[in-house]
Amino acid sequence: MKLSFKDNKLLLICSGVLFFLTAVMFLFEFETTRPWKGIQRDFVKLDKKLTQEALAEAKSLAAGPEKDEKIAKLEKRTETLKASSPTIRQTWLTHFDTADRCMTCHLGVELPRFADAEQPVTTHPGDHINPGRHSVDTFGCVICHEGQPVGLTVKEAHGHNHHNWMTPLLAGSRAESSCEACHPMRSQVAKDAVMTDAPSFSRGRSLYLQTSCLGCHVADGFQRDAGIGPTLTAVATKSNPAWAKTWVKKPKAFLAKTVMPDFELDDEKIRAITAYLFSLAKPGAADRKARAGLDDSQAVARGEQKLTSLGCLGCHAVDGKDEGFGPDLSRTGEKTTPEWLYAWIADPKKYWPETSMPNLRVPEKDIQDLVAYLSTLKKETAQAESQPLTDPDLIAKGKKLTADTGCTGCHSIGDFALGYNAPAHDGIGQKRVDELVFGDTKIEKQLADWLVLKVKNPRAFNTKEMPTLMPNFGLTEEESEDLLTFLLSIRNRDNIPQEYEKLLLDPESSKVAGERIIQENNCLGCHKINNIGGTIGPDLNFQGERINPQWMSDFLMNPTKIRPIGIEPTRMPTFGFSAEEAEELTAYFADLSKVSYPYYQAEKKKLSSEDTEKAWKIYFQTFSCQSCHAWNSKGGIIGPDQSDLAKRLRGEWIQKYLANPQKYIADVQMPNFEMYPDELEVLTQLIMTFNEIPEPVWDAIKKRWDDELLAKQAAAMGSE
Amino acid sequence: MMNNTKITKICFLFVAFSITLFLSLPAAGEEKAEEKVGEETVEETTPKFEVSIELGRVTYQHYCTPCHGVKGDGNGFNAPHLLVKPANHTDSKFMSERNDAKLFDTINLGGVEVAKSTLMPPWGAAIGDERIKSLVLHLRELCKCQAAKSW
Repeated sequence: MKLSFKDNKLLLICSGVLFFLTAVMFLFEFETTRPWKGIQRDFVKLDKKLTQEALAEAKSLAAGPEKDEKIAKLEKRTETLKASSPTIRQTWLTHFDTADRCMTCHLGVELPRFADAEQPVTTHPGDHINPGRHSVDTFGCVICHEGQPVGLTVKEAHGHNHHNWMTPLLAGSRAESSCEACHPMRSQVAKDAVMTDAPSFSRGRSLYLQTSCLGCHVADGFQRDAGIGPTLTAVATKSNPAWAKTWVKKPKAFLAKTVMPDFELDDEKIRAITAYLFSLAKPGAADRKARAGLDDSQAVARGEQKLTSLGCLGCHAVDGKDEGFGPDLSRTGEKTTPEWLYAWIADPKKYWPETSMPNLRVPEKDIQDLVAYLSTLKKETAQAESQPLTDPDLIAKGKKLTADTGCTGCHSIGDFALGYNAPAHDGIGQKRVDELVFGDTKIEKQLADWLVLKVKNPRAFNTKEMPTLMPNFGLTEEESEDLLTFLLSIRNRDNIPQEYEKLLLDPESSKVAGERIIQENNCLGCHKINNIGGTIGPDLNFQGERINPQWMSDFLMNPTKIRPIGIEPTRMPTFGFSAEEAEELTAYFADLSKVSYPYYQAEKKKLSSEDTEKAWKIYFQTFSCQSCHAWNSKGGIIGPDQSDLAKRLRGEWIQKYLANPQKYIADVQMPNFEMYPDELEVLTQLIMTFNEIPEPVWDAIKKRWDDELLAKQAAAMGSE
Repeated sequence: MMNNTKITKICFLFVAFSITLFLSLPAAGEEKAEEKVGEETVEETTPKFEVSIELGRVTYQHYCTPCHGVKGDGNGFNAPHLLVKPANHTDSKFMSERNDAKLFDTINLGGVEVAKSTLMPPWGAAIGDERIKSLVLHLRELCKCQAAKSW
């Protein structure tokens, strides 16, 4: 049978209609089941429920205009919800030239009532997106969270399906890596500085700058300025090969918090490196001066006591936990020779010019006691080297290994120059996935996943063909995640207009400059600043108000003893501050006390002869200041010498302090004389002239009052 | 009759009490306002002390030994710089001639208030009653003596 068009007409129409219907049905199905629509429907359902609950609650309130207003508002919302239909919500971020559709699904970010709802509709945590901060209208979600903002499925929007989507989603604390784009934290900002609302980023930055990352890597705007670890050229004069081998084998077993990483070297290689390092210098000869206190139990006991009284514990611990700013001292005896220790304490910067250890100006006798005590601090004795390490082949092998392992990134060694031994970190936060080697690992092919594993276990991606030498820093899960946040921040953000840059921590400000110096020198180890810190040295909170800036600057550069006799033998060490640093610190303290800087001494009022007489009487008789304070070394030795008070203190402060010394220093041995205001004023005026009084004049005045006091005393004794 | 006077008395007392209370109210309010205006916040920062011989020992070591010496014999490191030798607190004859109230006054108000030298400063405002009372306890421990008689 031949089929004609006529016969098939019906069939064709039928199949055509069928095809059309199927297509319409398919399209209908496709449209109605789009994931974002489902999310919006669920959202509306949830919002209706929440609104009903709120309405019920509002109705139970006591009658009043507030109640009516609330009910009206909620009823209006119910109406709006009833009328709502699913729509794509797109914001055009004018200043960033970007479309943002994230709020098509993340509908509750701005609505506090969704705080307990599940993602994707939960409220944004914190107040980051509140109006006046980073409002969604201006910044959308993408400026901080990245992703592919026009995507309407999870995979597309979060940028996780495309390996080459350069900016995948930054969820949770990882979004903190975007803060830096507008709020840069330059390298001049203190290493431990905290950016408010970016705690993970700040911790990561602190880790990055304080662990030894910069020994081998250089990053945009960051580089080390000197060796991170001590110089090793003269290590033969400091230590012994047996200790050096156990140290390199597992640095954290000796010092729990050291920044020296584990290079996972085998014993043979460690032996060769040790041989090379100890071939660079001759071990020093035994020195009687350094060994004077050894094996003398009294010297050891004195040394232990001096470790506290000299203030060493401001930076060092001796409990084995290694939580101080400097290394834990509980195993010093295993590590160093008495000769080296002696020379180190006497002048640390002589051995290692870049060390943070200040010069404590310790007298010879006290150094001997300290050396005696520290040399007894041992936990275990390392096995002495059985075979000599003088084999030239071994030394040559060690030299090559020293360079190959990357020791020269942190240590200056012999004739090697300090070098960056690993790839630069510029743009590491936007590295393409196809540039990364995943080795045999099964982790997701994402930059963040790669980085977090890399910092936690640097050799995880190693294969036979691609061995890497990055050492293990022993980071915890949290530390790795924080470091990741920081690394992700090193990425190009050229879609952000210049005018959005707002420095939160301005390196030019005295606050930021001061905090950097305070961190680098661990001032808080001994001093309290802003109520945080140690109690070994004086509280520094009010020093700006107290001290004349010129004097403070000079003191910081060249500290001298202020109190004639040490009630406390602790002294301010010499940190070797430059004039610029001293000035920055001085400005910082003035700023902290909210006092003028620079400081100009108020013009001195000339005291009338009557007032002068009155003031001398107060000084020498009523309150007998001379019994505790000296003038040009004549007089009592409890308080500071007063001949240069006018240079040391701010005049306004003397008067305030005299009125109530305990207000500023709770346990100061200066009585509160409860002076009357007129007494305070004339006495302060008098004290401010002390540096101008010629010695014979002072002596004559003092003699007059001394005689009077003795006469009175004799009379009192007579009457008794 | 008897009952009536009693009631009158009670009423009178009640009225007197109410008037006193009423009068004292604004005064108390004023005082409070003044406290707020004053810049001193010593009360808040000064730790509270309880009188004890141990507190006396600690206080003595911190504040008194520079002149009176670690042993209390008047030979502190600052003593050579003083015109008058500081009191020897281990001298039981000298110390028993002074009763506790006098010792308290000397520390509190200074030497001059008890007709002694001005070189002994008044400590009251700096260290407070509790620590002074504790010091008196410690002084009696140092001199191994009590006041010879009560004045």
